[in-house]
Amino acid sequence: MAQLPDDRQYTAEHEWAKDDGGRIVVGITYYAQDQLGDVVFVGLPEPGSEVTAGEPLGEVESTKSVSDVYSPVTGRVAEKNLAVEQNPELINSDPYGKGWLVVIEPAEGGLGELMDAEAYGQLTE
Amino acid sequence: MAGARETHLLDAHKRLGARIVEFGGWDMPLQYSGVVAEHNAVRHNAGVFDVSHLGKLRVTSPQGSAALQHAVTADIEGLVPGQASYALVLTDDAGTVDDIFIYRVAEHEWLVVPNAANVTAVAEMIEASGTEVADEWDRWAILAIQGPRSFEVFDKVFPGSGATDLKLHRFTTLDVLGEEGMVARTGYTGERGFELYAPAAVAEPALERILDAGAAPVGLGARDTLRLEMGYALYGHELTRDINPLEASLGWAVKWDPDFRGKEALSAVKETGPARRLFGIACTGRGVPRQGCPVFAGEQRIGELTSGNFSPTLGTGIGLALGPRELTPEVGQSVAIEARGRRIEGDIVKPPFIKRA
Repeated sequence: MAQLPDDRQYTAEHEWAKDDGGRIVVGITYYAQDQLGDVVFVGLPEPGSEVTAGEPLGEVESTKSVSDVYSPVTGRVAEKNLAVEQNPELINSDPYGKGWLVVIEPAEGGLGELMDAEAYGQLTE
Repeated sequence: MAGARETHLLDAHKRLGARIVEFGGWDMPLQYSGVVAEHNAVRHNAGVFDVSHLGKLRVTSPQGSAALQHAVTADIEGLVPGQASYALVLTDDAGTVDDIFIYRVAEHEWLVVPNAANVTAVAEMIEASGTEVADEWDRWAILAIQGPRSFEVFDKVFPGSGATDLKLHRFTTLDVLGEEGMVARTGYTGERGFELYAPAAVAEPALERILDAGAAPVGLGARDTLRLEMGYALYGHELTRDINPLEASLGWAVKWDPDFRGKEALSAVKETGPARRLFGIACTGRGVPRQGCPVFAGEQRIGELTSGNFSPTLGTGIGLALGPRELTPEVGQSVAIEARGRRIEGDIVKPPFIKRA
């Protein structure tokens, strides 16, 4: 798995978080989607909802299983990816790009210290 | 069991990028490219499955036919050599030991194909009925070639085998790369197709030729979504020792003329009507229902899912559920499946969940 982008941070629960001008874009990693298999449903919070770091913000469901997506940051949901709700397979085909899930406006303090690509890469080796 | 059994195609699966899981005591491919793509390959084109984990029990003793008849619910004397039938193996109290396919190879030669996890139990039941059983588990690879283009694929690989002229549930011997094998017009996907019994020595080249002819490799993940879309029972789900065939809507697989183990108990069930009934649910809400999820009509719990999954054809969740007969919902009725603390709305449908052309 050489394709770990180094422009973002990672959680132990296999989410990624990318700082985009102060707002945080969140998705799940290549490893997570590979473990899940074909994603067939995505449940995302509505814009405006409050989310808490380490708490579930939504869920992704595959033919095999369902798993929670944990928020990497505390804040308010600014946007959700409508395209991924319509076409959940975007999570499989482009987990770091078109398969993003939500954008979060972080509360004070912003995004804390998560794993960088190298540390996350070691975790999933 | 110490370590999982390996099919003669395990190396080939690994080369094809399969994710391997243990199933029924065997290391088997769960998926290659992905469940949905593999499922669609079988529905619209052609796919090939390794189902070598299925049991391969041969009965050849002179008293074998009568003994076998006592062990299964099919009328096996009604089969001609070259004909196969679905059947059930029951306990004395009509619980289901397994669902099987039984092939009449010759006047007094039979091949019994149980589910992998139930081979020992089925062999014991047949032996208890009075005949010896030979377990040919390592002798064959079994390849299921299924889908609308399966005939074209099979003809390309085995031209002149006569397989494409066979009627449903008929089988014949054929030459598989120099060795004698067997091919049957059987399968468990709802599509037309074949099951090829390839001798171990030629299993891998046979698979390669089938792939080259245009069949996609398909794993157990899609095998499950394909059978569930058709409403076909899977042992451990719709069938267990605690579920009799009439509860599982498999009365059609029971032939009442011959005597068979469990007949008395099953006759009593037939007399009074089964205590539980199986019904199908097509979800209208988002989410994938899973085995064990409770089903509600309003606030009343009316059953529990025996199988649940995503239907790639419908793009929604589907499930089979078992519940008390007096609470069985009507076709068209709205119900809710409780999954992970949420409710997935659905409608009662009569399986199959998809309509075949």
